[in-house]
Amino acid sequence: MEKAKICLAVIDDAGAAAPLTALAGRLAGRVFVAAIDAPEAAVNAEKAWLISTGGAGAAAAVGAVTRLLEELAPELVITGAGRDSRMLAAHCAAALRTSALTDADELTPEPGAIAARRLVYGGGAYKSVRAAYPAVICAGPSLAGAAAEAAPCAVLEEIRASLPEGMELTGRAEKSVVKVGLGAAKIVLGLGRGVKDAANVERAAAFAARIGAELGCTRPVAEDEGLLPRERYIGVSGAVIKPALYIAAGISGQIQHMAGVNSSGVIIAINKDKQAAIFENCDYGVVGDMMEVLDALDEKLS
Amino acid sequence: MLNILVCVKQVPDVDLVTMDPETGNLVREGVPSMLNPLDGNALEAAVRVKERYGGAVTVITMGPPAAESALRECLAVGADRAVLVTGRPFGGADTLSTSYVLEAAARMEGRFDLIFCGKESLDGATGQMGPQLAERFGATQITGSLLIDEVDIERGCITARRELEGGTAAVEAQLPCLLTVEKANFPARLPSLKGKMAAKRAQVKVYTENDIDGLDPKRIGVPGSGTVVPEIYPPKLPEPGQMIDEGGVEAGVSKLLELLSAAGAI
Repeated sequence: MEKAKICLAVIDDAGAAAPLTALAGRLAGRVFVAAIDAPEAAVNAEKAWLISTGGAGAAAAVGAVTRLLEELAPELVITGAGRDSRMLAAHCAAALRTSALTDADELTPEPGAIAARRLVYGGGAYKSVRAAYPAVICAGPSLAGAAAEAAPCAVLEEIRASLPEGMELTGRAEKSVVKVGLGAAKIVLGLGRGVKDAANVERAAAFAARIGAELGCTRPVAEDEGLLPRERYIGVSGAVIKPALYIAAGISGQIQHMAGVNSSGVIIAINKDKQAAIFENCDYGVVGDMMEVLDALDEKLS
Repeated sequence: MLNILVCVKQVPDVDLVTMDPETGNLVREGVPSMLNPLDGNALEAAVRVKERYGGAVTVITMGPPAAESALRECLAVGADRAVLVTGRPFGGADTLSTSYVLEAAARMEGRFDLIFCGKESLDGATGQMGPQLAERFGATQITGSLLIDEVDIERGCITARRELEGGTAAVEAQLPCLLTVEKANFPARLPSLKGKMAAKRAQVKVYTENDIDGLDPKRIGVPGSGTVVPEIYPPKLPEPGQMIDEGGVEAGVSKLLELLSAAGAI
């Protein structure tokens, strides 16, 4: 495989640093990192720039990253999957006069170009998109959440960045961020609308803890019902998981959700509606009320 | 008076798009199109600014002639003017060429103080258009806007709260400023009967590739795009498996026990 000469990994989320820089190393001969407010991201590269924004956020780093693009003239830029990562990807693409390949979940290098696969139409289809170098890859959650080794970077340079001219940070409020290990979990219990209420969610969470499973949910459970934080939502534009065992409880099986779980080893679905679509796409289907099944199982285990 | 632009897109109702299993082609025939829902939130933010500070809201879209109906949806809920950019040579555009064309067409309509975009489209979902347009307009930018605190017309600046990964930030930005809008605080309003009637009668200005000053044909449509889409194909879904519908909860529980033990959980 012909590698690109230079790749700049633009990382604003320390968690994505190892997989994305390792990926950069497979795609390019020389790897550099722009680590934005995430000094831990200085890994797997010959040099890293530690960009600190003083709390202004990734928007303040755009100028510094653009200058690095001029200095390095990379053939490839890789960014993470978060909301600010996508913004950074757009600015890198604008600077390099291209469009970013967003939500990439599989990459195929070609001579002088790179092709990326992504889900579109809410999970209804895959699209392959190709861009000639210089190209910007905005990784999807499956690439950004993959497991990878991290070798610390020996050469570091610090950059202090501030918001571009005409913009000023006038205040800031912190919010606690839930760290959820869905991507690396061996067993995941996914909850759909069938869970109904907060009391049931609590019971299901206790059961998940007992079997060492990570708790996930469908988009409506997180966004419409607000029963679980958004970080636990599995599916297109949410988490993409590949556990050995996925237990889908009270989930109807819409394609938007299934697109996030179809790499699981074994999928078992519990749903009281025998006609539920999920029974078409699982290894084992249990027809029954999810809480009844989970409670009965819990009892067996205690 | 504030001159406000909202960039919108007409999208298919993606839940209804299916794939022909024989040909692998997307079946979009008969699938209703609509205003991209998140663009409706951007429009709502723009209309609220207009109502508070005065001004005019222009909506612009690039798309097939049928995209006019998305513009009329906007006119029914507070947009004052609508611009449709349409023509075969624009087809197949990615975000690079779409942002080029939208900025060039918007320039024909004057200078805008505020530009609003939805967070992303329902179909493409790249989230790239806002930042790309901010670069084109040479505007300051507030992505992920949760709230608009104030527009200070005298000083020519806007203050808004934006969402960060770990909290929120209040940002003051000079005009022109481009804002991408989070959905939560800007639910799209329903059109009134009067609004609907007026939208039906309103004029939609149409620009083709021949009507936009200084448009470089090499920078529009497919030739102007940085990316190409060689193929679209259906995802592989797991095959239907074994149903455990006899023996009720009891049978389900024993299968789960078996699988949990195989996975090393118990």
